[in-house]
Amino acid sequence: MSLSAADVAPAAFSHTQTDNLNEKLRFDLQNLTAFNEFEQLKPSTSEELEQFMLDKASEGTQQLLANLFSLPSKKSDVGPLALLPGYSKTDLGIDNSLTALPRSKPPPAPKEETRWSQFAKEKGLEDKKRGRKEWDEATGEWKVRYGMGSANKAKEEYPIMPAVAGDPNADPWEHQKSQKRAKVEKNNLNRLKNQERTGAVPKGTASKYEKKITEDAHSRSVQKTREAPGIPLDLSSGSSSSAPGSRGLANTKRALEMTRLSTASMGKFDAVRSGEGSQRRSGEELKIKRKGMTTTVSQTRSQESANSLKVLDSVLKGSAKKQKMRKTGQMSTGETGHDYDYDDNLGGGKYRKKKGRAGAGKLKSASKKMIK
Amino acid sequence: MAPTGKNAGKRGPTEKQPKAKVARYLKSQEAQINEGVKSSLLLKGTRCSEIMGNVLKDLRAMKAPAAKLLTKKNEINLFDDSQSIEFLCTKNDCSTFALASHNKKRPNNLVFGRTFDNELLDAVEVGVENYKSLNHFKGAPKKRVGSKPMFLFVGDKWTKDETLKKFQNLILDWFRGDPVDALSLKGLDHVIQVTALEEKVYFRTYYVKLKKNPSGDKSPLPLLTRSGPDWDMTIRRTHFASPDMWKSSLKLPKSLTKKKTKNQKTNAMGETVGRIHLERQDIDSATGRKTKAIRVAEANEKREEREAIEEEQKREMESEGNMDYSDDSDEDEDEAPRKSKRRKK
Repeated sequence: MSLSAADVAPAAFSHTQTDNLNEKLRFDLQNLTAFNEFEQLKPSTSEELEQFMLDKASEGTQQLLANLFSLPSKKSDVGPLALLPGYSKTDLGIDNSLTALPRSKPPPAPKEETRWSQFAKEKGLEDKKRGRKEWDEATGEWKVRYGMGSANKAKEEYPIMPAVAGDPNADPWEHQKSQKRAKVEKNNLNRLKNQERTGAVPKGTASKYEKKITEDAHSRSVQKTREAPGIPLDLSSGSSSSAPGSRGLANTKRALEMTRLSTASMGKFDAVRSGEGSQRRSGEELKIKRKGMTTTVSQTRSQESANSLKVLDSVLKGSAKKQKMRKTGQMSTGETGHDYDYDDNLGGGKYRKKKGRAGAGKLKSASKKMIK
Repeated sequence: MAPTGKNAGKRGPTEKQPKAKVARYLKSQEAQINEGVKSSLLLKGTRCSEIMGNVLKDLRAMKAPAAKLLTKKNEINLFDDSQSIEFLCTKNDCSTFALASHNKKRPNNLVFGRTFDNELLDAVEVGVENYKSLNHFKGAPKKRVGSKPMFLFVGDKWTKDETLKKFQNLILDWFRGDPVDALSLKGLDHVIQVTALEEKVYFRTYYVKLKKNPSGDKSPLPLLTRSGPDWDMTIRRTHFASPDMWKSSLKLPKSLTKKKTKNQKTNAMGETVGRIHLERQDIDSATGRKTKAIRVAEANEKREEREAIEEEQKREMESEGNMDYSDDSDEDEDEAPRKSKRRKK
């Protein structure tokens, strides 16, 4: 008859016999937990208490292990793994034996698919991961796909820039730039549309951006006309976007005046046409006519002197606005030492930048004491 | 600054992409469907004794590597103002914490707590007594770093007392480690036993050595030795989550909840049979649109009927014999022009 280990060394195995355990435990195997929900009597002494707890632990652990080792298992490269309940994730929230433990963060909202991902799903397209480097035929070496020293950039640089296909007078560099810009804008627009759909960005952002793109394009085209040499400055876009390149009535009149004044005698001896008449102003008048100035000599003198005094005042006392503020009491007074000779006994006034007599600065009353 | 939190992923029209490093960090801060282990933040309160300092060190040893021990003291009174602890937990990316302190009024104080959505969820303040650190059991074998504990909750009070029920949940959450789907049972090496007896809660940790079962069972026999850390607790103050917050913290992501497919059943043959529920259809009074095929069919039917009738009449005439020629009425009837109705479509 073979002997069991328990017979040979009963002491070592005495506290591991569970056949006489009458307390049936409740288990939550997902968290490797056993619950002994029976009423316990507290032992009187602390040694007894420790022994009592050790006994309960041994019995409980044995039962728990028995249940754990009876779970289904799966094979893995680190050995057999027991599949804990809840692994299939289909009965969470339904299985009552699992303890409901809270999360750290609320569950993420399901991500809305972008138009491309929906399309890719339908077609069964896979996400092909491309490598960072790309073989560049021209140079015969591996170049990065994007960024510094990329093959793409090199492709766009031509030693002899070819003309734009449709329009031979167009600027090819400008064309290249605008093409790239169009790509970027289209990408941004699609990105915003996707975000609008998911609600990450308020509705209307995409359409606003679209508007902005068209406005920018327009202003760029207007700038082009302005920057082109030989086109007069007053053919400005700001006046009428509907008829760019036309002066309009007011601007034509102004243009006429300006051309008149562009002679050496400032249009004084220009022949007057019928209908031009009284609105003409001579260059002499225009020279003198400044802001707030009249034409009579005496008035001019007094006005000039008054103006000069105004300028002086503003330098000494502050601008007219500031003076008014001071008068009406809006400026704070008496709060700093600058307002009057105030001695706050903190000895601040005694600070000297330089040593010796030079540090004393301008003395109100000279005395040898203050110099120290 | 790159957008964080709720604004993650939102980018204005002309904003540049954040750097890859920043993007990775933001992604790690996002909520995930399956959350891993809850990191613990271990910190000291306004004043801390040496014992409590050792308690924190042992807690870190138990929870390593998912524990962060801060060295500086913090003036935190989380039962009055939970803002500072919430801030610290958010910044350190820890959703559980243990705050140790010591003063005359509350000696050897330890507050176990957890957060949800960067807000304080639960906090239980206990007084630590009879503390036996890991150093106390110096020679004894200890658990491996990162191994998952087994739990034993002894006592009927765990189910009867409301505070203890929630405390049990907190302890489980705090110490359980990584919530995995599959586990190598050979790696089980310790058990935490928490006993509730007569106003005190006894926290004991035992090192488990798995020995082969002499009776030949698959499950091994455990050999338990005290490894520490052990302590006795008396519950002082508590702060538990409001029912709404508790409910929202338990919500599972939609992709994990079981979806019921209605009106479908797979029978024993393996065939999936579906059921369609229709309302009562009044077939008799139902009128439909007549297509060309139906009209043609009806016309054919009528014609056939008429021909059949004519044939019968003819036969009757012939059978009656050639006796009655003068009867004009029949002839008129025979040669009556047929008007075919054509419906305009």
